Amino acid sequence: MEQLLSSLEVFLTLDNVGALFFGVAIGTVIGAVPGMTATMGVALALPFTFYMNPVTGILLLLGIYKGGIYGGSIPAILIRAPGTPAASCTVLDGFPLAQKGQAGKALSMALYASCIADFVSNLSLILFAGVIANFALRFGPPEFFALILFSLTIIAGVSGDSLLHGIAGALFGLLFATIGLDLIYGTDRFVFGYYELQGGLSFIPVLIGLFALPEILNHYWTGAHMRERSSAGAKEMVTWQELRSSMKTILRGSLIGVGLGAIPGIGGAPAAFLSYSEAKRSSSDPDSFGKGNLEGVAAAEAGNNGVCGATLIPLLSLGIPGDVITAVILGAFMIHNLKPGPILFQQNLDIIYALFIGILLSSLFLFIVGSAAIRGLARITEIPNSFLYPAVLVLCVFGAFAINNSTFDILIMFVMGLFGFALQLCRIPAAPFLIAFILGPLLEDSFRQSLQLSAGDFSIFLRNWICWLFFALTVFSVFAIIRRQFLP
Amino acid sequence: MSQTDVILGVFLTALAVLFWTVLIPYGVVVPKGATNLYLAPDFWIRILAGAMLIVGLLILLKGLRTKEVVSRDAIATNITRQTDRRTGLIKLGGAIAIFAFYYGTIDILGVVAGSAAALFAASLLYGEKRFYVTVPLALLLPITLYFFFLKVASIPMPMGILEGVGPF
Repeated sequence: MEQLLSSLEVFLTLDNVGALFFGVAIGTVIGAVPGMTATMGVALALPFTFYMNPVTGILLLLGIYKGGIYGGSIPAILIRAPGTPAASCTVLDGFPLAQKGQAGKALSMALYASCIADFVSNLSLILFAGVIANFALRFGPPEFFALILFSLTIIAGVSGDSLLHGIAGALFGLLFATIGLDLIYGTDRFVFGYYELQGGLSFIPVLIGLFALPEILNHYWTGAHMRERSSAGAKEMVTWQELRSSMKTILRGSLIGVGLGAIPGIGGAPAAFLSYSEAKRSSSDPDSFGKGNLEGVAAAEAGNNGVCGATLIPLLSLGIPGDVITAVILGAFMIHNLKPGPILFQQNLDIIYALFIGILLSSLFLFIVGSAAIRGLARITEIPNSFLYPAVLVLCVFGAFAINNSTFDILIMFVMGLFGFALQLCRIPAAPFLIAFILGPLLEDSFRQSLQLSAGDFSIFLRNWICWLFFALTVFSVFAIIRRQFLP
Repeated sequence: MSQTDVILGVFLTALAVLFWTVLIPYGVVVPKGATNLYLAPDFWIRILAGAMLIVGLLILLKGLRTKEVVSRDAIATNITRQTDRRTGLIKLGGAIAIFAFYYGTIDILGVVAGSAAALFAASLLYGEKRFYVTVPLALLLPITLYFFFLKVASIPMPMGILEGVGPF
């Protein structure tokens, strides 16, 4: 109790509260601009924390992180251009809702789901950091491979009417993900002399190209631009009843996010898609998913925000950064001579508790900032298409360039736009492509690393109960998919 | 017969064969020291190409077996659609031309001037004639975004012909 009071004293300063609030606000804006990611925001703010008190600086970065992850859902819903890879799942139901004139509902559901999932994730960090970190540490390449293989079964859930078309999309995604240097030998794969391709295709140009540009082309192709979108209910928010009926989905998504977030290297996108797939599987109306189902938005956002607090578990408890953002945050700790891990809990418990209080408060700040943002932003759907879509095109180009300061990424975006449009014409959904594109490198790398470890012995894939569990889940999922698709 | 599925099936099958015969041998560098089949850089890609061949054949088969019943109403709608499709095709070609122009001239015009031109053209292609909105939007949006990225994210955009002009 005494420790808690002393931590409260450390936390409760105007600087700390202000930095956290400011961070959430800035992060939301950054996440809402396609091409500007939470990672970019945190990295840009890092130098400003050099001269701050450690708690203030780290809270500023955490605020940007959380705001950035939520902010990515705003353009995903409004203009079909996800601001972050994790928000790409939100597009599936968020954008159809916005087209139906329910942008306000989609944005508010995304906000509520994000805040609740963020809070659950923060609580997990505070209460179960040790247990979860121990579990996460048991993940080596074979366990990773089993988990990713299981995650790929999500594709069935987002394949729409035809599983075969979904698998075709996923194969394209897996093939596109192989572009670049080979992990083990460092040789070129489909680089064809373009050195820009050696690092592989950047996520954001691919994302923007795959979602936003086909939408623009589709407007010209089908003449949809002649018909304005309905914006009658743009300002209408989610009702208590709607939120309550999605609560189970939100909590499930939050837990999926916590589980996957604690494992270093997974990230928010797989969690969002897994949560979405589970929500669809257990829904009484699965056919409405992908056509504008509020529960779909809730599941995606809960999954991707559930990751936020959990990625800090390996960082704070073991000193292992789970992704690029937490690696930057680790840098902020080290700049202030703080070394995350068990020693930090022994020597600087007041700082840890102060951070925990701030992290918990960030969910509330996210709610306040998000609520203010969506009231204004929902009105974007009232802009006529003839102004909105050309403006989106320009925004996409700026966003694609900003990722690597490279015009080559603009080319990638345009090529992916045309490819995405061709997929649409062939009735191949974009979501399986994207899931496979994100998970592909993880799957291949973990497969080859495992075999490298075992000198080619395949029994490494069955080395412990975690592998068995995920393989069993994969077999069960494939069986369920086959039964659903081919048996009456 | 489902024409889309048949075309897609043939395309995927052909692409898979192309991967096996041309793209993988010429596009993937396999070092001589790579003796372990599973660790070779092309192992994974060959599996994917094989899977694509199977999926392509399955889609082709599905397309050939699907019966599409065409009603009279559908034929009537189709005639109207043909006219719409021609307009759509022209507009689609226009949009792709704008994309090509946008990317092709970005080093010369720069991001701001190129974006202004592309935004104006795209809006015009939509049939928008309210130039009192389009022109200010085409000018202000790229300039605002340029300064936003420059000041907030410290990302300088290529300015092309506007390099050194006024505040750029």
